[in-house]
Amino acid sequence: MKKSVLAMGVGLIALTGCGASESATVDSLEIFGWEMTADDSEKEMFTETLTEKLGFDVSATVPTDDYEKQLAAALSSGENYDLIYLQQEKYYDLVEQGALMDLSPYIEASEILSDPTIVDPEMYYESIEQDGEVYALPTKYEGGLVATVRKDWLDEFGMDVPDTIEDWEAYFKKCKDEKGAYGVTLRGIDYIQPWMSGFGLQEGLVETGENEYTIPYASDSAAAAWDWWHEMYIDGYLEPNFETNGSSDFRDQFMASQTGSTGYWWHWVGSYDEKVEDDTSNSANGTFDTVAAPAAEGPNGERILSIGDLSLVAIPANADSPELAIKLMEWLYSDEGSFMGIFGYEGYDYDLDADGNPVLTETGESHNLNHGASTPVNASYEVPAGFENEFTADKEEARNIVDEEGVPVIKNAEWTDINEVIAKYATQAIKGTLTGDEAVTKMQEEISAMSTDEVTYTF
Amino acid sequence: MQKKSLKKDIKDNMMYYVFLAPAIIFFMVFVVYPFSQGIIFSFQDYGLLGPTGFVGLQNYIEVLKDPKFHEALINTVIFASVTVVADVFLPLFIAIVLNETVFTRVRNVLHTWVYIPKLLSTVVIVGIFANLLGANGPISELVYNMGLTPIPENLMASPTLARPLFIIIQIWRTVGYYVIMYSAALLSIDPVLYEAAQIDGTNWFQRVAYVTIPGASTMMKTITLLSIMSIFKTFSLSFLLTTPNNAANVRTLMVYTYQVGILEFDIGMSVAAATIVFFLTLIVSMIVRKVIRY
Repeated sequence: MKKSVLAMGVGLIALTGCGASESATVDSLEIFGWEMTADDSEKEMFTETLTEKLGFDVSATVPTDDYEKQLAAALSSGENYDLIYLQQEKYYDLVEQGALMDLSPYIEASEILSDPTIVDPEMYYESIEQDGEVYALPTKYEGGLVATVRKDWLDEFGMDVPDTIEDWEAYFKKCKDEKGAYGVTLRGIDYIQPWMSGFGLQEGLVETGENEYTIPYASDSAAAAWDWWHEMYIDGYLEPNFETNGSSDFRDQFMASQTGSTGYWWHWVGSYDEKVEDDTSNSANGTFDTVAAPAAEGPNGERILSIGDLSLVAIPANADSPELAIKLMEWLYSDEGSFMGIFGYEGYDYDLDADGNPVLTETGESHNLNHGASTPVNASYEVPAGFENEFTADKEEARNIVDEEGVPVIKNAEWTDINEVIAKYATQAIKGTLTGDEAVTKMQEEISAMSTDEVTYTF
Repeated sequence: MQKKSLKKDIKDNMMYYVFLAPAIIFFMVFVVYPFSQGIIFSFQDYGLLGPTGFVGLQNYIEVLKDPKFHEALINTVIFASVTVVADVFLPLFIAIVLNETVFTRVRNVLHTWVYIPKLLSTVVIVGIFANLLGANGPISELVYNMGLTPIPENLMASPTLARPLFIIIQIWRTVGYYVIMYSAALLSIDPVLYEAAQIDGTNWFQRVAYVTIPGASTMMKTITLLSIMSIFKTFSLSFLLTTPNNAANVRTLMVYTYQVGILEFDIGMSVAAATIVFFLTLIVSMIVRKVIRY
């Protein structure tokens, strides 16, 4: 009896071993997560297209909700993936854990990944460098975060697009006095950089030495900024629910003409107008017109916007096929891959006319030229004829502003905790529980206490 | 009496054990095994890609040194202390009042009304309170008109109000459930006892004190334990009420565990925190059981 059980066990191990060695010889790539429409057929077309173009099997698991929970459950339970999708804010914890592969050698060895005309190193690599190494690649051009303002209101008030903090305050006052609206709506302090620029402050960490950082938002000079925000709050210019506004609340308030400006991603500048135009019940329908404003001019004439968090893909440290993952990313940065990221899939999202130009189908129209990378990483890629004017002039202007004024936001594994401290005391300063000086003093105390042997925070 | 061996007991009562087997297997597979695995993980350096080795008590030390864990522990203890008392006595009072309601139809309608919050999802409940307490809500407007705030403020995010708000919402959404449980207990009290008490010349308060409350005492003990266990597991309400400004006052142990494990991908530390919460709940429940003699 015992012998037969042993024999069965040995047999099973042998069979499992055979299976493992067989699967290792097959060229295949497993992806976890990707940005796509909630459409199963798109996922199939995505993997089929990649399989066909790359010559090896590509499969993908794409959760539609609770992404972090599912990613943690899948990877920590031992499932192997070759490429995982993640937002920049999660990247630092994973690098610190050693969960991601160092891609610097692959980038150096790749003609495509190391070509600055294709992948802008300042925008992508430098913003996520950790100890000089890069552990992820971008999936699309993100641009940056800008202040968006009501152009139709500015015209009515006889004002230009605000340029300085004083201009903004004057505009907020007009919004309140003449429109009964708040001047600005926010989500916490997430998108305030266009105004913080007016005080010469930059979001994130600033390196002051080897493993030594300072944090402008918590510096002594930030006290004046937090006091200014308090004035905006108490004067009724800042929408008072900013602390609890969800991801769509502040946008809805802006589109409902409850506020005269907001801060968010550059590509929303034209999208606000389109959404209001489609909403016939909106009283601003027909007049709603937004433009991006440059960052407020700082004391030394500087203008600083943040390029915001990147959408990334990384190769887990235990991936079976890192080379294939790199090949896939190289293809996605090619003209063909960039085209797919915008237009989607032939016969489904578009058909080709006699000249080989894409003609969008009804499904393609509804997908809004976005199949994971509405603006590709490849800076040299040219959109096919007939689609160059996809951007409205306002949207183009917004992109020019972020390209000119956007700087990478430097973060690290402690950033979530640091940002929570900044947000806590900044909110108290804005609401008047603390003065700006008291708030930055408390921020500095708590953040300095986070210093370790590896990293120091000084003010 | 001679003690029967387990083997003999199984042999003698084979049929009972056969019927019990699925439940035991289910318990072993879905409770005992994951729990024991969790204990092992809590001693490992366990990140997104799984365990990389044993680290002894390191995860526990880190959790116990983390100021956010201290805040979450204090919050959970405060919430448990207040809500358990409210969960035991408020629904009992409501159930007694409803029990005294002569008209059955009125009683049924009132039962339904008090139970409705239990049927709503936490997201909806928080949404209702956000509408009342947001900067444009009627309560914020009232507080402003009374001169208590310089402008109509978003009271929902106030750090000072975070704990009272959590407690009020928690009690509001669970009270109906416990009212139903008490109502069932009150119905099971023998009416003869009330008649006897009446013949003895007792008033209403005396009947409640000497018949109703002793009759519902077992249910009171059950609710005490259920309430303690549920508050230690509370996640969604705390998660939805948390903002950076009020986090220190409203984050509970379960939210802390989630943030460390899922948002920061430090699974070893998260499991260590969850294990601490488990033993804490166990110890508190055992002490309470001893005190209330359940």
